[in-house]
Amino acid sequence: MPVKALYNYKFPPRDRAEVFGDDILVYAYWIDNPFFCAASTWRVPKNMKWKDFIGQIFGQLYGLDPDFKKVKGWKWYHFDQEFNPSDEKTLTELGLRHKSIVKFKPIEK
Amino acid sequence: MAKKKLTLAQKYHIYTRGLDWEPTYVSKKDIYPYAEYEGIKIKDWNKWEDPFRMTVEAYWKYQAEKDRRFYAILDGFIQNQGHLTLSDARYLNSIKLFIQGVTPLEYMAHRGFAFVARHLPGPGPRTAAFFQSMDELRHTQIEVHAASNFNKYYDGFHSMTHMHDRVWYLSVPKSYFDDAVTAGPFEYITAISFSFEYALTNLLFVPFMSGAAYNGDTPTMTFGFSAQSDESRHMTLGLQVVKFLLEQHEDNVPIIQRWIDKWWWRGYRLTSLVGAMMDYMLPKRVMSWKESFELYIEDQILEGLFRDLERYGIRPPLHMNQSIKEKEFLSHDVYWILFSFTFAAAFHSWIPKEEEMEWLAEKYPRTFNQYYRWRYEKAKEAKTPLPGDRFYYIGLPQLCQVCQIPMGFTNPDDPNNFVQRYVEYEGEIYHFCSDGCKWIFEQEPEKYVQAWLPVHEIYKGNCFAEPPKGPDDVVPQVLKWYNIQTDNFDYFVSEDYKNWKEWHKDMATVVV
Amino acid sequence: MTAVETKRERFVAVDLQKTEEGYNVLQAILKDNPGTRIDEFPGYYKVKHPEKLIIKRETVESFMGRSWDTQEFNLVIISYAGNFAEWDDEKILIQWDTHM
Repeated sequence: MPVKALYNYKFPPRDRAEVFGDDILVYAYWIDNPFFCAASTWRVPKNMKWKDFIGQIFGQLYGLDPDFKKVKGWKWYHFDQEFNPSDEKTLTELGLRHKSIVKFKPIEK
Repeated sequence: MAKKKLTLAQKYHIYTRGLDWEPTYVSKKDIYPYAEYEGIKIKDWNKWEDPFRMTVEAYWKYQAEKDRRFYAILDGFIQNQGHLTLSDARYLNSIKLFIQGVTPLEYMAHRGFAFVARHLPGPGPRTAAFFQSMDELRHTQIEVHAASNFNKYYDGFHSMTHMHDRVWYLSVPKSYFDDAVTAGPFEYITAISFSFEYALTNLLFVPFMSGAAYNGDTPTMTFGFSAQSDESRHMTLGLQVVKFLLEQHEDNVPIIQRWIDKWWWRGYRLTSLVGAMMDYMLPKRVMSWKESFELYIEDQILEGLFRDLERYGIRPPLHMNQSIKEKEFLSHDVYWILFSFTFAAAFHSWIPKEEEMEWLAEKYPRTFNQYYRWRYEKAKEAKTPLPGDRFYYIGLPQLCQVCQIPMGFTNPDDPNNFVQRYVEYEGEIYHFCSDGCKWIFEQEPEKYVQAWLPVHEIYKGNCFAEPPKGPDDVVPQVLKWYNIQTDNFDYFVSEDYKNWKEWHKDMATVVV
Repeated sequence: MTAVETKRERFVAVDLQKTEEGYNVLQAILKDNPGTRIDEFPGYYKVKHPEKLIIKRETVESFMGRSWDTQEFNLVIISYAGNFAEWDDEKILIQWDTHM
């Protein structure tokens, strides 16, 4: 349904992909762990390697959880699709796009 | 023989209808250019009735009296060093949120109702909107005057309008009202007078202000009740407008229903901040968010108001069921968000004391101990390099595209996870905290794709006082741009706490 | 959409300031409205009735000991639930299901 207005109401999205150039916004979410009160937002280069991306989000934020160091490995989801990212691939190569969300939870033994 | 006095009804009729006229050399359409484009059809503006029957004479008389009473109480409080007799300085953090978040909305409401008072073609509602516009300006003034006393002694009160336009959590109230004032006059009045004033301000201005009284803050109680006494008139305006529009034309019904659906959820999300203030920030508590929601929303609005509106073909708001399901989670979710990001806020937060946790567990027997208490235990362990012996979320959260609150609303059906929704619209992805916010986006995507989301703006470099000199300088430059000085971090490392202890060191009543 | 299910009650209400004037209005309401219930909170009274509440000028005046204009009700009311079905020089009536 369009906005009712007295003129042609059309504006470019404020946070569209092109505004961020060679970077994208990626959201990250630790499933089943509401200690982190919401998913996090990261501005990262599209060609950032996966290992550098997780190094950043774990190093800065998720490692603060005392339970973090008990985790042996992670299961990953891109939106709600399970995926197996390899460390050396870039975010683009892994199929991530502007405003993708990656979710993760500890691998249960 | 003395002339018989006019009755209230006669005076009101003369004042409204008697002072209106039919234009002869300009068309009505040119005078009221916004009257038709929203699709609302009016057959006869004269069917409008205002039960308050307020005339200018009565308005000045009673408003002046309300102000006299307020300023007498404020002066007494100031002269008596009333701030020292508050229950605890922690209390004032709820008032900081109020003054930063709500007071600027009062001013926006003043502007919004001035617009409506100019642009509604009917003289009755125009008069009511004109009074309300003046009321809202009065509310802004008395709130600023009450806060200016606290500003002499406590952090967080010094820069409310500047902060309102910039700080991340204040984009929540700001975007709410910007959404309303950029709508047409009929949607605006349905949004603010009906959905907000009739349904939601009770939660803000009645139990919360009772809490102010209970915590020794008589100026806030007085401005709150003084404002809410005007709100009674505003509620009446909202209800009358909606009933009037529904009776005027059947084509209005689906339009009004859609606005009620939208503005219930917008207002409800906004009011969640009040839930956190009531349940966590008042050292002495009157009633829980859940109890006040049951009384003011479930009883008064659902059992009362919406049964009354059934005969017009109006049903309760679309996402009301979700609000009811959330009532045992909402305040805890929001305080946990505020707690997590206090390093970037102009108020303090703290880990609830043991007796406060017990109160929360008693009021929320199905949720607090199960889903929230452990977070505060863990927060004592998960320390960061920042001041305060506890956890902060060292990062930026994902925000909802519509309500702009960090996406931390628990899914009641899966309480260890938050609700996360997204849509793709014209090649871009948008995320939402709820089905309600997603639905609102889908109704008018062109409006919400323009949202100024604080987190994204920081990442675009639009929120720095000066360009950061390195990664460690990012947050300080944002805080400088926000004009947050010593207003942030945990209460127990704050200037407020230090001063409060100092001022009370010789008193037996010290509360720490 | 399914109807919202609540096991709640329906009442009309007015929230009054806990002041001297508010107290007098409250007494008048109690006198003229048998079956009224009061919940007390810090700073205010919540006055509820299952059907309707009437505030009569004459009764308020008898408690105030002075003349009282029904518009002075603006100075003691904080909030309400219901409709103002009538508001004239003699009385104020609050109830649900009144229509234009």
